[in-house]
Amino acid sequence: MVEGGTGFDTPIWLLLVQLMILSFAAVGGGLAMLMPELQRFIVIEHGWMTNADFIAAFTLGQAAPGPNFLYVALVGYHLAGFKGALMAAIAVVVPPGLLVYLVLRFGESRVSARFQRAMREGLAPVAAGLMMSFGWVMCSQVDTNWRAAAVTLIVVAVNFRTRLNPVWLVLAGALLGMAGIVSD
Amino acid sequence: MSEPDAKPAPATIPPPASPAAPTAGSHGGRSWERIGPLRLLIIFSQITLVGFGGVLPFAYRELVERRRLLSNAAFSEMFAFGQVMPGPAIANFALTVGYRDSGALGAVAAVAGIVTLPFLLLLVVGIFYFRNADLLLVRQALHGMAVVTGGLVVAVALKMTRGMHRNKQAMFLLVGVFLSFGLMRWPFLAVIAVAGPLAFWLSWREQR
Repeated sequence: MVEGGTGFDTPIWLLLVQLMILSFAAVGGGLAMLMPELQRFIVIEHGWMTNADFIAAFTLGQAAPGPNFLYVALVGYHLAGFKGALMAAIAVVVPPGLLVYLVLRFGESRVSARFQRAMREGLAPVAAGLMMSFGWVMCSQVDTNWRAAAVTLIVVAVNFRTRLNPVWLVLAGALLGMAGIVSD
Repeated sequence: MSEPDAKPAPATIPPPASPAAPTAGSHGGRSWERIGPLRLLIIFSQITLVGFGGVLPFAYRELVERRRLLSNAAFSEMFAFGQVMPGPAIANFALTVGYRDSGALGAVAAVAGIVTLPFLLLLVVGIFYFRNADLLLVRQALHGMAVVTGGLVVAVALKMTRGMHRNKQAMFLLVGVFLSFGLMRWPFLAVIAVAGPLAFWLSWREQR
């Protein structure tokens, strides 16, 4: 748990507000790609978690089954226990969900096909740029030696070229890690 | 409960299989048999638990190929809609399927299905990790997983460039976002406030 602030000025509430804003700004479908921004906010700006803990929470969220945005729940857990985890998950799912619901309920037919195409095609390169940023930030922090960098490159090639389920790659990564191959 | 998309929509999301454009044989605005909230909850729970590293491919296999609950066109249309809307795409997708099927209750059931079990599972795994992070073996295993995850993210980013138009504007936006957000680490909201509207405007001009 992280102490500090009173009322709505506590870390968990600041995190929730940030998560709600970010979840609305998540374009092209992913909250995972906002990882560099959350890292900046939590580790660098506020120092609520160590960088190693943040990377760990993020990696577990990617490796566990289910939607990978749930790593925010682990961040929430770190700040305020189970309640924090629950609130963090709600903060990224419910507010945008309400908007989607309202559009489905009242306005879907008014969202023109042209608008949707412009959104989808226009934002595709922006989303790709965010994803690449995210890949760069992640790799530059975890690839601390040439062996780790080599493993990352192999994973890129395998995932890009084959249809192998990523879970096997993650499992192999855990084994290589335990064998002491990627760590310094 | 009022039918979600009963009005004849002039310009909805891709018309062919869209429930928004009722065709002969559609079930009360739906183009598929009603699934119901309880089955939505169960189906989406199953989808999400096998969905290591991204739920979408599993959702497609279950809903379209194995159970034949949705047509290919309905799936694509609803997934594209989930991506265009703000927020996590997979949750938006589940919400859309649930809503079109069973209204508000269906929407809640589908989203709860996607989120609940993985949330609890991740908490258990996370608590286990943070309790044992002082063990070298545990830390090393996680480092290995993080190294692989970094590679997976880069691979997904490369795949994302395959589906987009590769013209000068697109490359300019992609490189601009990468330099400012990735390398310079400028605040996300500042980057997206410029890149988002610019990207939309450039693309809007090209649409008919």
